[in-house]
Amino acid sequence: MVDKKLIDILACPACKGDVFEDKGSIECKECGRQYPVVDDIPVMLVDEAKMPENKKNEENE
Amino acid sequence: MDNQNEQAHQSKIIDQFSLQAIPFTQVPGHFDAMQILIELSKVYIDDAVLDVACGPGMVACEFAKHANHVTGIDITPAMIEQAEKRQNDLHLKNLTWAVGDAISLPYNDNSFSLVLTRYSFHHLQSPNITLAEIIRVCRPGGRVMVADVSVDSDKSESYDSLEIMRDPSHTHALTHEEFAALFKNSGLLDCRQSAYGVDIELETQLRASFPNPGDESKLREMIISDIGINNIGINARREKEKVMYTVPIGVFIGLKDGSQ
Repeated sequence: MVDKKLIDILACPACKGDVFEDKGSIECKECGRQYPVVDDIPVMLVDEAKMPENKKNEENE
Repeated sequence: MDNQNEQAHQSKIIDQFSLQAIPFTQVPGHFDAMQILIELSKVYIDDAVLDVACGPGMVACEFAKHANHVTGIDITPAMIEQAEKRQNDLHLKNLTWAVGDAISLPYNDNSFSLVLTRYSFHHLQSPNITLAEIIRVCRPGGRVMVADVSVDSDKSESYDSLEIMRDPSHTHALTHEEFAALFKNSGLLDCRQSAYGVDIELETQLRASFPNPGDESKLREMIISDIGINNIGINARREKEKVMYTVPIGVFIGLKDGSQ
């Protein structure tokens, strides 16, 4: 689990959207990017983020 | 700067600092002057601090002894691993860590009362972007502090040549004038500056460095041949049997406008 206080101030480095923790990753409420959490440390690098399929399509439109 | 170039530079930083993660903490000069930073920053018990490019957490852990909470962020996972180890060794509870890039900090606006970074700006390709990010995440009325190598303008080129050879992730050490202009144009108020030197013993530093193959002897030669000349601006000298030099560090502090 990532520290709750850290989640409260974290933002997506790609779009600065708010984020939440879901199933072991940090997800952006705006663009949907999912950032991995490794040993409870969030890896907030755009290159390491996964973009969900439905959001990929939205971005390409 | 194009994205590919930026990514190549990021890889260089991660490669270098993955190697340096442990040796960096063992160069005695890197722990010196911590008290200067504590005093200049006026860190106090209510502060929410962010340490940008925190490396192995030396500064973050020290500030955690004086602040309410410290967050450390670094692009190199191996550095964050060392930082967490340091936190545990020191039995400190009030720290959290993240892996992230100083070009786009993953924090909301106005999240911290004190944002600092030490020894990072000379690795950045766009220090103005990072400073803007630092200011964005700092609360109105909060403090921003940057400590980094700051050289005389006539020594800048020689110093950069030396450092790029020692550490290929080095980009450019800002001159005093460049640093002052960066802060002046940033919108920060009440900007002040201070300075100190980090004394380094050549061979200890070489053991903690990972230059390209064959460059170690060139580095040694560059520094030894600068003794008594000081073209590089690091006052290379012999003390007893050892070659010593002093890296000039500038500390720049400003307040984020609280009236907005």
